[in-house]
Amino acid sequence: MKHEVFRLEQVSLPPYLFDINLHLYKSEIVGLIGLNALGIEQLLTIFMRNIPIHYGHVYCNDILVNDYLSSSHTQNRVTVIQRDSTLIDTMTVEENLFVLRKGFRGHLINQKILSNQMCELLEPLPVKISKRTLVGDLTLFEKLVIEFVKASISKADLIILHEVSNFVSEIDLAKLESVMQYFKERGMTFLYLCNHHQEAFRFCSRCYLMQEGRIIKHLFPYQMTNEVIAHYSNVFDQSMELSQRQSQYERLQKLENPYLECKNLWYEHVHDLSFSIQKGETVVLLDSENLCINDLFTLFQGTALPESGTLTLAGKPPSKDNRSISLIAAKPYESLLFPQMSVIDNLYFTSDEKIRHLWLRPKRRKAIAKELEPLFGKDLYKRSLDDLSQEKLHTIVYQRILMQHPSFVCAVQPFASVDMFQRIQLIHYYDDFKKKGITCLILAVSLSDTLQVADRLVILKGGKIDRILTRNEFSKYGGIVGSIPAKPKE
Amino acid sequence: MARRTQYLDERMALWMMFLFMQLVAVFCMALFYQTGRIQGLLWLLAPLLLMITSGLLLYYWIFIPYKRTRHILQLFASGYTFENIVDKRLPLNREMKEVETTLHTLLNTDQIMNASKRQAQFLALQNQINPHFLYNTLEGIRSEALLAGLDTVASMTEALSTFFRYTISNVENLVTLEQELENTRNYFCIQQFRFGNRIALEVVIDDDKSEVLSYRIPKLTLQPIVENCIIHGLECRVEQGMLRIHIEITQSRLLVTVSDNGVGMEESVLSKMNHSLSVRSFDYMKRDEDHEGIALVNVNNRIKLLFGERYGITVTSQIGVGTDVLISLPRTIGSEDRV
Repeated sequence: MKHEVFRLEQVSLPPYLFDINLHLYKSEIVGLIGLNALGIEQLLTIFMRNIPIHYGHVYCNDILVNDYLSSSHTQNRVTVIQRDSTLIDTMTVEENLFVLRKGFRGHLINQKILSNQMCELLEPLPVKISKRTLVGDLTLFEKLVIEFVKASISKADLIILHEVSNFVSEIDLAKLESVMQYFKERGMTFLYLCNHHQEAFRFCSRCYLMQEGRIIKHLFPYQMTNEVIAHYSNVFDQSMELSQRQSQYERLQKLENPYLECKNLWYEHVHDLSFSIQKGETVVLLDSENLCINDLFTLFQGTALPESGTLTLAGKPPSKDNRSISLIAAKPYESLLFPQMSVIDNLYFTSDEKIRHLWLRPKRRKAIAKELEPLFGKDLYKRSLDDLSQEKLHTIVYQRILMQHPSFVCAVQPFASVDMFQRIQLIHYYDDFKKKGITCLILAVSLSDTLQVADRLVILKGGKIDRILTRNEFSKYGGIVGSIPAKPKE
Repeated sequence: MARRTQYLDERMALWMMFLFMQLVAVFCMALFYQTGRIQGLLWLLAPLLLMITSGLLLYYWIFIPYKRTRHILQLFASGYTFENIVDKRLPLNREMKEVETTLHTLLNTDQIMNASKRQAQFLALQNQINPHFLYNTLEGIRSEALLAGLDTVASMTEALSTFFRYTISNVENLVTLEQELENTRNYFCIQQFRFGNRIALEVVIDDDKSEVLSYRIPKLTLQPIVENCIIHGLECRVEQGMLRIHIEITQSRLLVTVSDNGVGMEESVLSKMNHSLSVRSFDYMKRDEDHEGIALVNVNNRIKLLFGERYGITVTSQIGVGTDVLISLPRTIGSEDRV
């Protein structure tokens, strides 16, 4: 007999969720692959809290905890592990584990006992943490393991892993598998939420596919194959296989006058890094240990200087005043947009250098707005960004960069936390960058769909280059997450 | 002592009375203040407190219960729920409560159950046939076939006879999963005479087989679904069709998933079907019998009538992948009593 930990029965919460039927058993890892993002956040909320729902029933350990007749607003014992950790950096691991938990009533804290308990709990796990270590001093992977242990101590019924591949490197992700197996054997249930089936297929025993707020397929182990999933992702595959877009990445680049040049670069975790990028080339820099991405991005921002070595863009070091450089941080819709400004102003924001007298001549602005109308529709004339979807916000960011027409774009994890349809849209924007001859550098901890737009893949190890793969060698890289460009269809 | 049912109109009347008294109190206070009988601004707090109290009363005592009642009525109107129409905690008024009770009586589950069962039998047979005449004829054909050395014809006739015997003769509502699976296999065997090796059936039981097979489920639950899978899913498939029946048990439920790797359904057909499965309606009985999905709606309605709204059928499908039908049932082991 299987022990049902969570069950959602015909749960509806229009306009986000419709007839959700989902059940999770004890000691299993179940995948939830979102083909688009609609309803995912609401579903997570229903797992965590018993909020009012339009119709349906929610059972936890076979006990009705929420239904359409009465919602108690109480919390369920569910732990969500996502980018923003719930651990407090300024407190020790012991305090985070044992003191900061529901039901802890001790007034006098014996650190020695807590430390010994922590060591006991961590012994079988692949992390070595000394006593009284501050959480802030832990690596990302160690923090993750501590969150797992914390969930286990607080007897969580379910752990939801929310797009972990977006912030955990591929190497740590592989290590995470054994940790998950360890907790799974001890009766823990996991819901693995992700956008890529490769990832879910690796970790999970069965999967649910979700689209437009509905569960569209329950994949049993024998159905977890690329052939089956191809029927659901055919929009993506067809879009990627277009010979026109494939062929532009297949032209060989001459490596004579590189646009970006990095020679024996040393800075924080970057150790003797040397590589170059040709003008108009798109390169993915994969840092599967998640060491150097932030350091490199800081150097491109021009706010810090390398300890030694050189980093030049068109022969000059990066500078924050240089508007021919465009930097796209992770989740750009949060950091690159001004929510209180109108959609049009957000779009024109960086175009004044390319379009002369843009702010002085309303006619010019109107003419551009007319050109942008088919892309945004009525949303173009909105006075703030408050009601816009994530997809629209992404469009504003990338359209603005296209209008700015920089000579270099550096993006951090551009395909993280976006659904399949948004990924298609982003890929088309990178295609446009390519067409306009813009040099692109994508900094990534996991591949996602970055290879679809790449000419070369540069793999880092220990802060320096480990391997460089050209487009026809991409299949040699055996990563966990990500799609590899297909051969163009004739 | 039984709790007296409260009605929304009674609460409204009480609240109006409270509001009227409050207005009178405010008027008197204003009069007294003007004539100098009461002095000091603290007295002004009294009407303010009264107003806050009446506001809270209106919200928690009237508005929230009304919102809930309205929600249940909306769900009933859209066909989602039958059961909770009479369980509303705050009916609008006495007359409305009586109407709802009468309505519930009219929707007497026994009557609908019988109608539904008959419909299931009709769907299985498509004709009214005299059972004994049919069995005797089939037995006759089988004997003749055996005498003539036509083993295939004999086994086909035997399968058909067993199938009809199960479908028409046994009148109880609940049968064991073993009996239902046996009938399904029998039906599949008959279909295999037509399709040959083009279709295959696999039954996967995750837990203790003997225990799982002893659970009782409504009669003719699996066969109509398997029939649908073959006719609408596998028949049009060029390659080999695979039909899987996956059975699992949890603390309280028996889950049967019937999956095929057939042609799948169009999105519009699927959403129409899921709508018919989520709302309680017997409109499907009026439709043309050849209409796709009648069997599924029928089985779903019978399950919901027998065991409650929390059980039933869910369908997912994709063109080129196939269709999955998840049947959720309670774990029932009991005598052969009719439900």
